Amino acid sequence: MRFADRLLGGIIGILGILCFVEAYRLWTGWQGAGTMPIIVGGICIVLSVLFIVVPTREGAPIEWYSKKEIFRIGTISTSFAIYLIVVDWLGYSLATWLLLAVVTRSTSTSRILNILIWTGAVAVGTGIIFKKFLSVPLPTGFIGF
Amino acid sequence: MDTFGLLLQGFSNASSLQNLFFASIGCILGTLVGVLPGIGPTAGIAILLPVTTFLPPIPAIVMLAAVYYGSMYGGSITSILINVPGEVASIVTTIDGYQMAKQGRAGPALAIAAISSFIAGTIGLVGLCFFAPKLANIALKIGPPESFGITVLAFSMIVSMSGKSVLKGLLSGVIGMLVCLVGLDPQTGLSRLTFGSITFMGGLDFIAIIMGLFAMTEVFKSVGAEISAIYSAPLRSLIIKWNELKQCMGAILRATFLGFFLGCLPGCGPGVISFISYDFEKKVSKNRANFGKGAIQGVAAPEGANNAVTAGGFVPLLTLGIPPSTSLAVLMGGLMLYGLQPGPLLFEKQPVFVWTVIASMYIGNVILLILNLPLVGIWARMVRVPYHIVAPLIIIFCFIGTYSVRNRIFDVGTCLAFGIIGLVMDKLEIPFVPLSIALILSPMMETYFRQTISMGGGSLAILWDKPIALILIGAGLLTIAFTIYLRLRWTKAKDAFGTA
Repeated sequence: MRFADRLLGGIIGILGILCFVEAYRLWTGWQGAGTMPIIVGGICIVLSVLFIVVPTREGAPIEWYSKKEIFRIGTISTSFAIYLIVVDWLGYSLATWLLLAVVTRSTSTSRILNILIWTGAVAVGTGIIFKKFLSVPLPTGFIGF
Repeated sequence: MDTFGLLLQGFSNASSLQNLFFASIGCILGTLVGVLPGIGPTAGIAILLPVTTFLPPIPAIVMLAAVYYGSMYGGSITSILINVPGEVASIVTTIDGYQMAKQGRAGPALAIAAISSFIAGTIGLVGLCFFAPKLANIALKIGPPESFGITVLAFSMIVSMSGKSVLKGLLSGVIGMLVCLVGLDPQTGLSRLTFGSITFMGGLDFIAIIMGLFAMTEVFKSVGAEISAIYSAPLRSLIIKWNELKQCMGAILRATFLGFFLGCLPGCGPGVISFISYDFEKKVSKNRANFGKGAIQGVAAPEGANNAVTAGGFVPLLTLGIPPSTSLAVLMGGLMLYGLQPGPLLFEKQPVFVWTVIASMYIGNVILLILNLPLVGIWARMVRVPYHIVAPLIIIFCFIGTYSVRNRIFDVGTCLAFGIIGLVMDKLEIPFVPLSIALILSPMMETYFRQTISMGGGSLAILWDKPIALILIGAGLLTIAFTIYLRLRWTKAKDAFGTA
């Protein structure tokens, strides 16, 4: 895991430098807004050095996700990201229905019609419960629901 | 009013229909959270936390506390019946619980788990009532320097919660501290690490990060996972023999005391303590030869311990504002959402709230006992629900949960981002716990640190006049050094053993 550890060390080092830059910009004394960035930046730099310099014990190699798993994770996260972009326009129920249909389809072998019925019921059902009964202000979109 | 009077008043409030209803709902949801593999108590509380913001503070926290201790019991059901621990504290229950189930004694195993949980939970609450007000009274006399010392001491638990690598634990903690810096400085209003973005000025929401790390990551990891085994034999009887109950009483009491006192210490989570309790019982029991082969004490001890821990954990949370575990850190986030700052002043300023929540936990233990024993068959069948049905529901709760707090899509994006970051952290074996603890403690530490410096006219020299603060800071640093030393010794001993 040495390469991964060194990469981590590098990233945390950059974040540490960023904190120092921010602390310099904000510095008005130890009771000011720059105090915590200095402390965090300092810890980041120390950790960075430790990750890069200290020889880490070679453990079992990291088992990254299989192609199938990456496809599933990618599908879910991309669908969710698109959902976040369109939910204000489509409204909670419609956008959620589409998101759940895609997510369920990518993780199960059920028939599409069954998936559409089940996910539609969940999307509309949760919309009614949270909007009407719990007064959660969910996005309404162009159809008003 | 004395403690007993306040507790009685708490019982009176907790017995209102509204609070009883939400305590029952919390117990049911908690048991469900414990039963379903993949959703631990932390994720369960994180998912439900934003939903409860639409309730008044008392029923909301009563419900979340019930989810917490309900999940401890729920985890034991699947441990015993199908050898799948619903959450980490129930792992050790599988050792003897599943053996008992295979021998056709699932009923007595479930019964002793419920009885042990009830007894330990109730005695633990008595301890909470006794110790918490005393500790709160002492804590009332402390100022910002001592509070800063307490946060340093609390931060030291990050080292003991670091998992396999202290460095990675510290890295996780520092990521939490970094995340807390993003946004406007609460004292001066200056923007930090926002890169000029107005969106970032609102900061990164605690709930969004916790839900991302614990719920979304779990969804990503678990899609496609199926639970195939299910206990199919009939549960003949949940009646436990008097003789067996008598054999277990010693184990339950020992586990209760061990669980409660270790649970008060930051860094000792239910998972570790249930292992310690099992190991201790194995050493002192007359029946030690049967441990691992279906010894009933092997179920009673860890179940008792992990329920006593839940009560013990509330002592530092309510009196000092230090969450000793991740689940309680999330619960503390819930208290803060309501503007309730856990700490010594909570007992003085919000006695009705504190004592109602404590009293509701006594009632919740009874509800769990009454509710869960007859329904155990239904809970066991819940494990059959495939993850492709559970996963979309978790996603919905993540969306509603994070969106409802501040009505910002950006927060939901933060949740998604931390879900993916959690996946990478999981693969690199970077623990989540230090990050979540840092999210809570870092802003507190900054505030107390800056207040201390202001008191000292811009210098930390004021600490020399504050011996308690110095002792606390010293204890924190010593804890870190001692934990690292123990780790190094353990590694060396393991290497020597491996090469011998």
